[in-house]
Amino acid sequence: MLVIATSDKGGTGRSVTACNVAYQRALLGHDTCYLDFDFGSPTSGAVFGVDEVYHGVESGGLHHYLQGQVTEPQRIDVWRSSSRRELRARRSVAGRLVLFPGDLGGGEFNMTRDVYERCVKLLIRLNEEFGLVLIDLSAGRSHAAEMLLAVTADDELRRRNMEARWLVFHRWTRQHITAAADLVDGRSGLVQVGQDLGYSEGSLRDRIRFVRTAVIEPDSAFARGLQATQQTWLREVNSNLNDRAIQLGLGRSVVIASIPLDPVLQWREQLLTDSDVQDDVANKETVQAFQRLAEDIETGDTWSRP
Amino acid sequence: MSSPTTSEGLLAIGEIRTGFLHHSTEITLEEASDLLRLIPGEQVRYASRPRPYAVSPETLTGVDCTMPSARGRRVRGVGTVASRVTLTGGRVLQSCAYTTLVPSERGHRLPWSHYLGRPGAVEYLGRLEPDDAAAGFAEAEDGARGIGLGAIAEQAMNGVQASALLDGGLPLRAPRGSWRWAFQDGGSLFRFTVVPDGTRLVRLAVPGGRVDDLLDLVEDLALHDWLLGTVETILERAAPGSGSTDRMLRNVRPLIGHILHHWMPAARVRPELLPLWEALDRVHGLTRQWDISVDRVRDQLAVDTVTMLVDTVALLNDTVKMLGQEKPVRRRG
Repeated sequence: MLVIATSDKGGTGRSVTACNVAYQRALLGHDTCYLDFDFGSPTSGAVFGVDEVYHGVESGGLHHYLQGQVTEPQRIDVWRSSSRRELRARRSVAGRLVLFPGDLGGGEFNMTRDVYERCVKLLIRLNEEFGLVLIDLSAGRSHAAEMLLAVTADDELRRRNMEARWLVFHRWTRQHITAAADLVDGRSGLVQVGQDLGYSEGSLRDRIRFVRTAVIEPDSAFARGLQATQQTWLREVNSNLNDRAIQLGLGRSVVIASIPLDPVLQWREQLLTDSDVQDDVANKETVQAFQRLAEDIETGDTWSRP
Repeated sequence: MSSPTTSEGLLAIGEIRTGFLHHSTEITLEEASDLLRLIPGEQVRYASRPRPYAVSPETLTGVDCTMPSARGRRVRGVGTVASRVTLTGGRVLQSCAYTTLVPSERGHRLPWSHYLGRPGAVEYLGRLEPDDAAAGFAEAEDGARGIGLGAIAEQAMNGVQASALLDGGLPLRAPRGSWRWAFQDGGSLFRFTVVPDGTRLVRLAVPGGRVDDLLDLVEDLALHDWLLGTVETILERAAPGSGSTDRMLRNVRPLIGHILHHWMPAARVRPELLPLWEALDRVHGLTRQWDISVDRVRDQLAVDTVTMLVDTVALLNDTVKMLGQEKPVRRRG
């Protein structure tokens, strides 16, 4: 299974959520790999707690691989390399968790035929060993996103049933909802570019689901701690946002997950482990949301909805 | 390529990759020979006994690189690397890239025509100590640096996996097995190391051994070691005995359908090298571990079957009672 994570704006918590979902997926016993395609600012090393690639690698990462400077991109076994003790004590039933880091100062690149073919080759290669290949894109429209649209429309991948699923992350605010809708349905958005690159009409939209992040549900414990006037206000705003989302085609039927606002993740982007919950550092609800998403990216009801 | 003996070539080095063919079913020998016909007009060799096995013609890749060295010496070598791909049992694909290191007679780089006349040999320009080079390549964790045999083996494998003859289906997923080896002529030496990323390093010295035969031996070891590793990983995930029959069956079913019957140790190892296989097996216990794993799969399936039968009988009895019948089904055992 190939899953591509993207967002229109930065600061949506896309990377930290994607890393946590990869981690939870591996804990469920699936071999999982995470490809850091955020070439401008690779951060996954930091989230996984792999000190040696905190901000990407000097060379030999995905960016260099796609440009043909190395024959295989560097891979890092997260269980073995993470500086966090509870990750190194990997459970035997857990699947492999492998990080493909980006290169330091990678930046954008031009999509040539060679780059395209290297990308196809890499995805076929990874499909041989990983049940989930999770690609984290940078925020906004990028050459990398365009390349992945072209690559995932490629017959070579379709023939192998390697169709991609796209997750679009956005915060639960008016601006973010609008921006996410524009990224998908706007001019030069995913759907339009996808169609230009070979997706049939409607087929890409069916493969896109939205992930709401930093959500404060009006009934949550967090909201109950607010003053009565604040609660009323929150309810009203939430209801308006729901209307807005439905209007723009981001209603519940295409939402695959809502990740609650978690102070830990606001201060430090990291994997949330069971011990973070036991120590009351992280909220149980956040970890549960990651776990649910890790299951739903494959079997969630949302994929069978029209 | 004629097969040099290790004494002619001083030292042969190579890398092997092992993985599942990207196809939903096992393929026939005829299909395998189409698949592995990498060079037009050249024949694919194959055998149907003791089990289906096909081997591609050798392809050559030109290299000009630094020779391996445990002591960090930098000696340049120029020549060709041979690679071949084999398919065992219509399912397990292996690629091997290898070359024999020989001294250059001229001490400087010659036109490519010279090297093409000696396929599968790299001539080193300078002083190279075979022991140092063998140790550098097949005992040091980063020994592949300089000479990219692994990349050549990976590419040979990727090329076959990309074939339009394959449907891309995968009955189960597994990481590729990775082996790096060095053969030398001389006494008897066997060193086996596993580096943290799982790569196996083998250093082997045999008096008068032919490179082809030794290659068959190491390929066979790599295949069985990889089968064992794959079964062990799947069994770990299935967590037999933990109570979840569903999880157990989901994981174990592909083992029975696609892996267990490929175990046939030393099937194509020359008789004179059999004692070596057996000695390695005694030390590393491949067969013993395999037997334990297979028994575990079968025992667990038997226990699960009995449990399900008992549950079914209990359910039947309850149903019969509910219907007011007098004679319940007798529970045996």
